[in-house]
Amino acid sequence: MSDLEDIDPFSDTLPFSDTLPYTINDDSDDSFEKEEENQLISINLNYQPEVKTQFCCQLDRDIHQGDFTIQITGAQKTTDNAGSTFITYTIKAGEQEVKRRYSEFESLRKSLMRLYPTLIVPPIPEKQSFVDYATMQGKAKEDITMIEKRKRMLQSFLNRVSKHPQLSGEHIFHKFMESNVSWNEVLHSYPLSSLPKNILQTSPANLSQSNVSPVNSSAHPPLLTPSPSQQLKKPDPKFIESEAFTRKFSNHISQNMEKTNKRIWKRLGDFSNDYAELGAIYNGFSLNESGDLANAIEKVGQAVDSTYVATGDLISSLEVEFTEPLQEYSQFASVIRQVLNYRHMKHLQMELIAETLEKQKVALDGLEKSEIEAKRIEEVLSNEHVSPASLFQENENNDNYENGHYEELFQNGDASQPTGSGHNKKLSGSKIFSVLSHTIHGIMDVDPEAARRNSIGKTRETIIQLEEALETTTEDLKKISLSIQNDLDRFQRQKIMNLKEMLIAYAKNHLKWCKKNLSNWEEAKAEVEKVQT
Amino acid sequence: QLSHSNASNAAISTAFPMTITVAEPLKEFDGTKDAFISYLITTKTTLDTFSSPTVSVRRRFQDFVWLHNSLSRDFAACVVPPLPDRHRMEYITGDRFGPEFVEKRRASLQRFLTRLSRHPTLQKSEYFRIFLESREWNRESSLYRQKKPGDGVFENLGDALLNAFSKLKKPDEKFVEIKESVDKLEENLQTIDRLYQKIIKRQTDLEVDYRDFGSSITGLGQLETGITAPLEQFGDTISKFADAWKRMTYREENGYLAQIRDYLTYCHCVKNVLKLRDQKQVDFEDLSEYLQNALMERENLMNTGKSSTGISSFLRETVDNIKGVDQEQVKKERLQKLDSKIAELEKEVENSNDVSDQFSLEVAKEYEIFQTAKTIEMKDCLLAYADSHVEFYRQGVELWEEIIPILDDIKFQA
Repeated sequence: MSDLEDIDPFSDTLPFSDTLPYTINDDSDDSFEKEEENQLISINLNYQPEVKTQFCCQLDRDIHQGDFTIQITGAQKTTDNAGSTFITYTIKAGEQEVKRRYSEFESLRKSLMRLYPTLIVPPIPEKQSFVDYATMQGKAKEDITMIEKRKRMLQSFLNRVSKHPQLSGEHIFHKFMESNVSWNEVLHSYPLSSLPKNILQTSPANLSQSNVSPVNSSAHPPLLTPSPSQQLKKPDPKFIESEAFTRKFSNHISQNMEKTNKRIWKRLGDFSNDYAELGAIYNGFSLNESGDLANAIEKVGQAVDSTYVATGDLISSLEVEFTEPLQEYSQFASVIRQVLNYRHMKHLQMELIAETLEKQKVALDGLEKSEIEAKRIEEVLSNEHVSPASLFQENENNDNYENGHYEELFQNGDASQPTGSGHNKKLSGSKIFSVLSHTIHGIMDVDPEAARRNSIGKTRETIIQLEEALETTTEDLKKISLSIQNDLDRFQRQKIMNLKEMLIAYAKNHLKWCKKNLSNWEEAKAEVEKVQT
Repeated sequence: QLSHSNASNAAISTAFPMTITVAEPLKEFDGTKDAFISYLITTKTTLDTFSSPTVSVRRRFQDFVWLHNSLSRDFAACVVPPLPDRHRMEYITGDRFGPEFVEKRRASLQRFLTRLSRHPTLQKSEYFRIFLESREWNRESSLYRQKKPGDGVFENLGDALLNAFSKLKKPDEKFVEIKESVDKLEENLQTIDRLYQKIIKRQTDLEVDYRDFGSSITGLGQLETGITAPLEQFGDTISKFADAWKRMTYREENGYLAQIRDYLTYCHCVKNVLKLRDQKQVDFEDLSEYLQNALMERENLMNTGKSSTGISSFLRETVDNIKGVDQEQVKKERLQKLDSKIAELEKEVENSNDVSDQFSLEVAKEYEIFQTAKTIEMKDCLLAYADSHVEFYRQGVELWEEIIPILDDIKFQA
């Protein structure tokens, strides 16, 4: 998706908006309110029916029947024939089991994004930086922690895809998890092999008319690609709002929430180590004392030790149940930005086509006017034997228009450039010159009339094509906007539910930590109270 | 608020015939350069030496110093509990009237008086009584200010004490053990002090971290208009959680850590008394050595007629012979001198032995008192310490239990 990634139409002058832009369309029906939170609503936009009855394979069936989870059960260091070492992850889905490496996950995701540019494809954990690789060679413990984290996040990716109303039905996704399927083969066969390099040049694959294949026929000529720095003439206010909101959300998650969360995580780790040290000190202390006092000090030491252990548990639980999902949402924000970007580019595209069409129409108009003029002159010439000079005098005002036009035609050979550069040359010298050029051109064996008629023909053809393209893109844009809006709504629902889960997990883990420590410290306090004085 | 608990809650008994509280710090002569803080000292006692069972007076730090010095001077064998450090940073920064400093000091002064009240000897001293109830403070205390050093039962070495322990010929095993024990205690307390300073900082940082995180959650609530209310409440929960951290840290720093440091100073006092005891023994050992030498000299004189041998005595003899000195006469004179020296030394040795023995007995008793005090004090200290944790986790349980149902109620609103 490098094409889309390079483009960023967002300038700082986009309007600021506070309101929740991810709203369900006003003309939605009442069934939305009746729907339970957890059911995903799919708008019948594309060829997928609301309740799925047709399945492409067993996995497809499994995924859509009730509670289905995909698991990544293991990670192994593998060496291939070429001698390079990498990690493969074992995926277990229903009856299927297969090993895939990170780069294959990456390409699966890229493929989904190209097939479904209007949908919010879940993120995968980021590629390891060089620094990570370097440290990976060293400490085995960090190695394991990172691999475990990757396992969890890749697993989450697969499950999120399987719960997406449209993505879950995509067959290449099923193939990815199927035993004994070569991913390389999938990449080189239909539908992935027939996607154009720049997906802006066709209609979005997932919204095509065809029921059978999601890819547009290649008979359709490639659409114009707009420049990313262009501004929309009539931007859609709702999507401007969405873009602004996404930016704010993205900033807040990564600059604010992720940062402060990480600080706590780190500090709790330090705190935990402090307490480990403290526990040892109290234990040593109790050995130097005797009787009740020694017992009391020992018990306090034990409470300290258990705080150290409980804090370790808190830290790792928070990592899995809060920090990692938070990271996913930070990445989700980027995905949404890319999707909105795609729509933005399509909108620009539509405007560009409309603009180009206008220009062509103006050009055609001009050419047709010339054609009419030429015919009139011919008629006059054939009916009367008038000297060319008087002819020119009569047609003084129209003269230069025609001459100027001819010159331009022969310069570019292309009717798309508008004319309008004629100005009056009253000097007779130039009239003679124009007659001469007329003659010279005649000698040069280029027939101006034929050329003009050619241009008219070509322009007419271009106009027809552009009109078709405009119709397609306008339709596409409508569908794209609707599809995106729906997926945003679905995403918003998912996000709220996930946030709810994350916060509950945060609270529950802290509660557990407090309860455990409370009981240990109450025990210690009781032991201290026993000391006889 | 830190509790003044221990002293006021302890029951009055024969061993502890008084309870004392130090309270109500008051700034006097405010605005002048002579301003100071005075404290209300309330004593409840069964001792009949006091004019009434309950007495109250106001005293300032200077007065505590008088009490401390008087006791240290007159009861050298006793371990007089320490006063809070006079020369603290707060004096330089001018913050000696700040509430935290005043509170720390008040707590420390209370510990000082409580310890005195539990000490069987010191609790009965006149100085103590004057301090606790005298209505004519200036007159009565100045009476005792004139006393010269050395008038006490035992000679004191004053505040500038020996840095190292003196080397003993025959170290007393009991006191060697005691010293080792106190050393270990000191070491443990110092380690706790050092580590706790780190922990206090860590917890203070953690409190700030939680607050920042809480704000970020509230901030998210501003963006996500569908769940603004529950997220605000979550942010509020975190903020209260941070408050709880703050409270525990405060109790640990101003209660636990302050007591640990105080106790370290107390240990130093004990060590000083031990040093003094060793010094008394050294005095005795040195004197005994002199006596031994003198006896040996007499022995030699008796047996050989010579008080010494060697070149110098030979020379002296030769000179004497030339001079015509009467050897017998000389011998008689020398013997007389030695005898009187020996008699004197014998008396001194006996005296020194008595002093040393007596001192050792006292110090041994003091150590017992110290040990008992230690048990009581450590118990109180650890109790408050454990309690500050119990309080924190209890508050935590309440806070987190409260927010969960609110989060559970979150529903998606279109």
